[in-house]
Amino acid sequence: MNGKQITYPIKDHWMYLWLVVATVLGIFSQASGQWLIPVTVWISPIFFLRFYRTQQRAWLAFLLAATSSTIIIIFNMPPMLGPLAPIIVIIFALITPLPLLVDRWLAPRLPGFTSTLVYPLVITAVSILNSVTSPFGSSSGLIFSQYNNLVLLQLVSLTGMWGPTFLIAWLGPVVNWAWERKFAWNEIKRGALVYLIIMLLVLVYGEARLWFAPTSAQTVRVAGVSMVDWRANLPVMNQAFETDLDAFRQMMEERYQLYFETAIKEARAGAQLISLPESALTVTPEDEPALIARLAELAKQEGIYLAASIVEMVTDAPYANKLLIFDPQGEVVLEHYKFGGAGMEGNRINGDGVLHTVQTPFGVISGIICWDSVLQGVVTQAGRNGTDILLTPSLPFRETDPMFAQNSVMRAIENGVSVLHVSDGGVSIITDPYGRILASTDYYAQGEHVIVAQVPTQGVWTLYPLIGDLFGWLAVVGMVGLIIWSVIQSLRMRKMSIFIPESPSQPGQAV
Amino acid sequence: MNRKKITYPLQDRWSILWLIIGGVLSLFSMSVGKWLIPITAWLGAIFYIRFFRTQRKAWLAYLLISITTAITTAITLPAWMSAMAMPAIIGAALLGPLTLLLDRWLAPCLPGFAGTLVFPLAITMMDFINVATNPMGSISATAYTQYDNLVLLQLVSLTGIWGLSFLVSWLGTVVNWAWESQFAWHEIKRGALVYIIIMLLVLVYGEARLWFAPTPTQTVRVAGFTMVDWRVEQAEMTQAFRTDLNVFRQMMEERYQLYFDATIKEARAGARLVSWPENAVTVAPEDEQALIARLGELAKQEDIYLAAPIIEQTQGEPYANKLLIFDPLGEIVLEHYKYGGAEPSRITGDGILHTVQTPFGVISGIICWDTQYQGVVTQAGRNGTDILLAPSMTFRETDPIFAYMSVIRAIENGVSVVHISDGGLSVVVDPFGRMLATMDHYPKGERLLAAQVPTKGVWTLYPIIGDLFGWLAVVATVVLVIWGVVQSLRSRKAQAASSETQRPLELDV
Repeated sequence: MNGKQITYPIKDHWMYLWLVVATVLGIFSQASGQWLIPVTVWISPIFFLRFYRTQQRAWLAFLLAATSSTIIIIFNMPPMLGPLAPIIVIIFALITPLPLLVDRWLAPRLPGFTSTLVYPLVITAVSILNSVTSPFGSSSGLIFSQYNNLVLLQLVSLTGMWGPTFLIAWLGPVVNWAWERKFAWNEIKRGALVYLIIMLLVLVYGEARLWFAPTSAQTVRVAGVSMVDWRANLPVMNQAFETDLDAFRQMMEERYQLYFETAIKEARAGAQLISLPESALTVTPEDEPALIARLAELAKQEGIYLAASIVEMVTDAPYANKLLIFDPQGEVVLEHYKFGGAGMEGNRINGDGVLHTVQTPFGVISGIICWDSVLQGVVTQAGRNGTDILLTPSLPFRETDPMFAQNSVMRAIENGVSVLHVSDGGVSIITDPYGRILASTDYYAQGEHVIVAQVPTQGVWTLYPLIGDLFGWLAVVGMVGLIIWSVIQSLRMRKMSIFIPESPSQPGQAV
Repeated sequence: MNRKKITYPLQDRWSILWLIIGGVLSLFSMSVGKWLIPITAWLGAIFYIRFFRTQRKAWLAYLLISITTAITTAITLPAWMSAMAMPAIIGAALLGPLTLLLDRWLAPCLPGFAGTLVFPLAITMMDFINVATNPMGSISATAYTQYDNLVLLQLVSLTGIWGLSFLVSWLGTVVNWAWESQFAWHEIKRGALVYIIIMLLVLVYGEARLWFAPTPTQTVRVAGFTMVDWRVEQAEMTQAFRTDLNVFRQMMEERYQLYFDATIKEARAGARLVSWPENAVTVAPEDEQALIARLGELAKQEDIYLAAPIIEQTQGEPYANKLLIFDPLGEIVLEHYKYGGAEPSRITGDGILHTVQTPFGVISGIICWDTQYQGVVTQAGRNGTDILLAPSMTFRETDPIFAYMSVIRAIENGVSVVHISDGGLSVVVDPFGRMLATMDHYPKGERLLAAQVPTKGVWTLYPIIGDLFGWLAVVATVVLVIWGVVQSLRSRKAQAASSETQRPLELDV
């Protein structure tokens, strides 16, 4: 019943309309874009696929789809990319239509509903391959477009980002599959029900997980403070560093004071763990020991755990961008070097990517820095090493805001840890292990840049850190398997077709 | 094409199965229920409607649904309802299935897709009448079941909660309508597309509203906390009050100190507005003046706006449950008496929302149960309020739905809401309902919440048009019923006439 063979191209005189609709929707469907309307991410591929499957010449279709992708990316280009922009436009324009090409080639070779798997498998495979090869990690994943759907995102606690990615991409081919069968219920019933039931199960899983989440036994008051606009003051700081070291020291001392005073204020209001944003304390290597001693003194004096991010100011040697956690005795109990974005931030010392932990009276704490949080595979350590609260001090651009905050939320759900994401230049956010917001502040409003919350001292168990990116790799295997199978099939068909035309043609001639 | 006539009852040997599925789903779809899985609110109606339309005798269908509703309501109803539980169960069992009865009677009289409107209109009307007449307020409205879908909830900024009552229940009849046409695409295409497009527009509205919301220009640090578990210690307190006023005073003094100390601490950490939960300070009427003087002194000393809910402890006379807001000069700048709920011998407020202009926007305040009266709270959307305080004291069983009602009031009126709750989830949300801070009452640890709150509200349509959409549903349902009665009278007449003319004919043959 489902085995009806559809051959492409499909006749459809509305085909260019579908391309236009898909392009318009596509403009609103970029996870890190300027105008994000999450539902368009589900709908836009329906029309792209339809368009592609109605085209007679695959190369022309590819060209048109690439043009449409160019329009989409140009509308969404963040200005901070500068000279990189043209390269990104070209890569995006050429790569985005590839899954459509693969779908067009493979889908008709597969029987019935199975053919709908090609497109989501390719999208998921491309996503994971991109996440392991791109310096930007998984941050451009289409899943981040669904940031406001906490129910759907619960699925990442099982499958990582690959489950929701697959489901979102699957809708397009499912609808097209039904469309090509004129939505005739007796033909599409099974397939439609399969998709509907899987989606319902995923939603029920998310809704039940959130509703039945046990009340945490204990919370701790944490605070984050962001006192300096580091990036805005960067030229002045560099200038001072290069021309007059005393002026630089004076400038930095003023910043330290701001951080020290606010930390004291929050500590006296009851915060037991205080986090500063990435690069909060800029220091020359020779002044660093003195600064560290003062930080230790501060932690000891206020009886708090203090998470201080330090960036070294150097002339030519490699510099450190690191996170130090001081305990209430004033000891450094955790040291973490940033490892994400290696080679992209000048001559930086790169961390080893091992997440360390420290046991505190309010649970196990671990820490990473900004760019590290987009490397989901590395962060799964937090889900395996017993971390309860993960610190992710950050320094994003306004144009990437709130992407880094959303990354942190994703890591929280994946690993079942609370996340304390204190940001200079972006949304600061504190979530529980289900990704629920405990506190959130917008950096760009005038007012205090202080975030405070009562954070659960216990993480929750999740499956994802144990199986890692299994679902992503399954998609890769599935895609490769499909391609090999189809190549073999078409070779066979060609072989057969050498014989077939002769047999029917002979009786024809005889007549 | 859509004109195919369907007559009920339909033939379906799975009828009872649909009743069971509908019943199971309804266990998870009560806004104040123990187990809430929001999607079941959409799906449950599909199966109840199918069951009702496939039963031969409408009265039997009504009876079976009533029994099912009684059972499921009894199972999911939270324990705190105690005395009110029975009326609630009976009410739900008798009134709930009326919507299905109406659907079965009227839907086939209407042409094609229009028939799908009967049930959602009836549900919306039912929600509306229930909310308007129920002493418990809007607590059981369909909209609250969708608490975790901020995108969908944006709709209340236009239609109030009625838009959601309608959309959620409409799915049930749309699916049944398609089902009855065997999902034959050429027959259901138009109707299905109408529903899908409306749903998409609603989602796009919500998503765009959230994404394009402007960054607030200014925020203010607000803090709230609960220091006492009022309800847990109520018996002891009442006992002390009756037997030894000095012991009572001593006990209360200890509480005041807790609240005073915490306020000083938070003010010194930078809070400019501090809110306590409902009933934070309990006082005998004769001691109240002295307490108020001390509260004024506290606000003045710390240079803050202080929102202190006070409850009077009296011997049977009417008592006040009120919210006082003190300004940094120590003056009372706002006084609000609780008006919602039917707590015996309480002085009931007039339901007018007062405001006070501060350096960080216009503040207004209500107390706990008041939050449920969406019509009254719309004043906040009209009187320029930027930050609405809703100090509360909830039961564990109503947690967290009470907090989410505050979220919906925020979206409806375009105001930030500071909902500090003793015994429940405390939340601070911006005018789009986005969480700025949340704090759960039940873990061990400090019960404190601090947030940077936007000092400007946003304009919304709902406070201007009020419950227009609710009234429209009432009017439409009434018109449908009248039309249905007229139609059936007419067809009976026509039948009688035709049978008279037909009889001789038959005799002829």
